[in-house]
Amino acid sequence: MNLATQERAVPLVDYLELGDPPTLHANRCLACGARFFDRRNACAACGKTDFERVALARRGAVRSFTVVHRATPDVRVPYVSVVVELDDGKFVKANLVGVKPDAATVPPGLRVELTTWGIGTDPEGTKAVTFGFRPLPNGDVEDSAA
Amino acid sequence: MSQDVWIVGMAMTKFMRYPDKDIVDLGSEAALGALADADVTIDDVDVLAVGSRYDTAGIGQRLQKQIGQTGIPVYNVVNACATGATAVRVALMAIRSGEADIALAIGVEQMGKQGLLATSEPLDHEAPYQPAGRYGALGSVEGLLGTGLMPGTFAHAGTEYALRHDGVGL
Repeated sequence: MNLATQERAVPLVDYLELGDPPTLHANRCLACGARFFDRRNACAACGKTDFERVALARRGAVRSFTVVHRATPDVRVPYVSVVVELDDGKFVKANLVGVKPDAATVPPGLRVELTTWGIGTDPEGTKAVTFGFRPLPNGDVEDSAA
Repeated sequence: MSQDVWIVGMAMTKFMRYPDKDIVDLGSEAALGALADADVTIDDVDVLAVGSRYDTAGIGQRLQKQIGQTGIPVYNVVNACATGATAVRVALMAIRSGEADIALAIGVEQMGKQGLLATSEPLDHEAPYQPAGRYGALGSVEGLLGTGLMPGTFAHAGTEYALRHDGVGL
């Protein structure tokens, strides 16, 4: 589904691009290859200053995680916060959806893929879209269209 | 430089809520206690270093008004969880450099009830979405893109540690 052509939509953060399929992007240091989600003045790994925007893998495996039970009233709890190691080696933090928010149901190394959903609409009718990860269907059985 | 530096006196207040004291009271109590423990006075101190993570409005100067404005240099430092340790380091370096014979380091915090759950403004749906900041974010991502608050951050660090050490604790 291409959200951008169906209705006006904006990503929650600019490193999420709402293409078909939606994809995370990073600023990659041309000198050493380090990748960053935010705008960088220079590379934190090597100090060089030239970057290119690159697309990231849509699949990966859960690394660290925690189930959050307490938060301010605007945050819906419980939810699962995960750091995912994408298949291209980049780490990204997000929510894990499609699982019971219980530490026992989040096996380390769980195979996941990127997913997006709307989180609200502004007065001009623009939809805000966030991303997260969901377990790959059928455990580790993956199709080739990653 | 290999000159020995000695801790000649120290004091601390008990960790608890003090509804009848302000942050300067707490810092003063620790400072005066340390001076007494070392059997020196504020007049013997050559440099003052004060760390506070949350009270960054010249806490060192405000303390000096209560414990002695003797004309010495004062350094206010902020360095996350290492704030108090950084004040100690400033005192250490002042002595090592030869600027000071006796230096006083103070770390002080009065956190109230903000706990560790304070967060930035939630995403506002009542105004047109406007990307801002280095991530081009429409608003706070707390709870939307995982958690970045301290309890969750340290929980992540804990599971990462476990994963690196045969899953200990998982």
